[in-house]
Amino acid sequence: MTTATQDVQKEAAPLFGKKEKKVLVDPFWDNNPITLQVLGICSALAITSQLRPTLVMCVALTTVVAGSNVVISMIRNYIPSKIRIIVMLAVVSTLVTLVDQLLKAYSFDMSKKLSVFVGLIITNCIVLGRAEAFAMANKPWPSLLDGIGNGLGYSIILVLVATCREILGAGKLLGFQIIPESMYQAGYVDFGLMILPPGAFIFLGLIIWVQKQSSKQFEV
Amino acid sequence: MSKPKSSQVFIFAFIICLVCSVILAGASTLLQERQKANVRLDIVKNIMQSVGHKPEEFKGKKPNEIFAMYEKEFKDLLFDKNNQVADQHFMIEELVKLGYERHMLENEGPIELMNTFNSKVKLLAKRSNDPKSYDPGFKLVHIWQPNGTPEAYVIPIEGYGLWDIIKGYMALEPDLNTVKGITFFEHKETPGLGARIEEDWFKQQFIGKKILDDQGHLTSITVVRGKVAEQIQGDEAVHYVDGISGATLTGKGVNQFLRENLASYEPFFKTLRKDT
Repeated sequence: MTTATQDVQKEAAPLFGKKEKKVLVDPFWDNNPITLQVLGICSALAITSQLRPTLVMCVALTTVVAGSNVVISMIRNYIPSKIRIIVMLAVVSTLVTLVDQLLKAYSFDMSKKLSVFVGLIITNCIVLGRAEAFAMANKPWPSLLDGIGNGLGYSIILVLVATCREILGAGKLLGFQIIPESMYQAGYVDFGLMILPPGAFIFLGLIIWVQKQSSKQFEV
Repeated sequence: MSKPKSSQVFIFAFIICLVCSVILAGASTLLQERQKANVRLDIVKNIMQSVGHKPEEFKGKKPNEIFAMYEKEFKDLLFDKNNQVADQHFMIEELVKLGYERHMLENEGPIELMNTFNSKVKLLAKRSNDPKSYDPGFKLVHIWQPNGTPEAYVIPIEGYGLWDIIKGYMALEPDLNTVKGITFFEHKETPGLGARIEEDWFKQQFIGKKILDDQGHLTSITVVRGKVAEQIQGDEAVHYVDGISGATLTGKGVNQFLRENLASYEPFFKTLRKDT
């Protein structure tokens, strides 16, 4: 397990200074949880064949990461280190179950479409990873920013993949026809492979490649 | 950080568990009514789709309007072991005998009662040595009569696919032989493979297929492995539909529970066919 960074923030520090901005924005691209840390791949592959469920999933995950980060950070000084992982899991699974219940009550069709993947947020490494690596060593406010940042970083990649897959695989975006009928009459056929899991692998691979090229981060 | 005593660890763990369970129990209680209404709405929509209503028709409609639509077009009938129309209260009595509380059941509709009944009976059957003795015997039929006369009979279908129970509805024309439509609304099949039973091309194949052979014996409908056209000759094709590639076991499950479900309704269908 990674040891956490020190709690460096001072009492008088501004509410949203440079450091906070870095915590929030870094995971968007430079330290993206999916492409650089390669976490949370399972759901990135599974629910990105259409954009709409992807968006719901992104909101759900961002809420859970942010929420769990804040809660863990608030009780971080009381958590006995021997059982910290179990405590984190308890907090995370409570939040995930809450989100799942809310979806079932207010957006039933969506919760059917996302099926098990909402529940699987519990095992999404981003959530536990951020709790262990950041929230355990930082105050609630930066932890919240870190959670939102990582959630959004995850969302950016998922939305990218889902947009490409839905347009190429079904000719639609959010259910609206994007590729005009005339193209189909001219012989265009939807690229069915994109809807299937390989489509997600291909796009995710491409994004990771672009990402690593641009940030010059290579594994040795 | 000083090393905490193990008693502290236990107390902390206990508090966390307590807080988490209180939150979850609260949320579940608060949201239960809404969730139940959603499930019921989903079932009603599926019954309506099985007779040919399109999902687009429900768009922009409030749940109440959809329920009203259903009430107008459909009649839920409950039949007992002897294929006689049974009273809903009779079923409530049976459930009370099985240990349910009466006041919990009195506001439920026949669909919920049937669900409760089926799950309880299945549980009892699983625990007993003689599963057959727990045959529910009750049958629920949703009769579609948009203009007063029955135009379709919708029956619930349910059974194991590859991973878990698949639930759905099958609508039969008034001859109780020709399939009018089928829906699957609850399943846990593999996304992209078995889950494709939910796709339109698969469901639409069932329309117009026959569940009886020329002599009037039940043959049910079978999902083949691959394409029907390549495997089944001539008139027989009317009992078969194309399979989903990569989902042979889901197809096998569907075959089995369709046969079982139709067989359990067959004696009742026979009496209905005689009447008409």
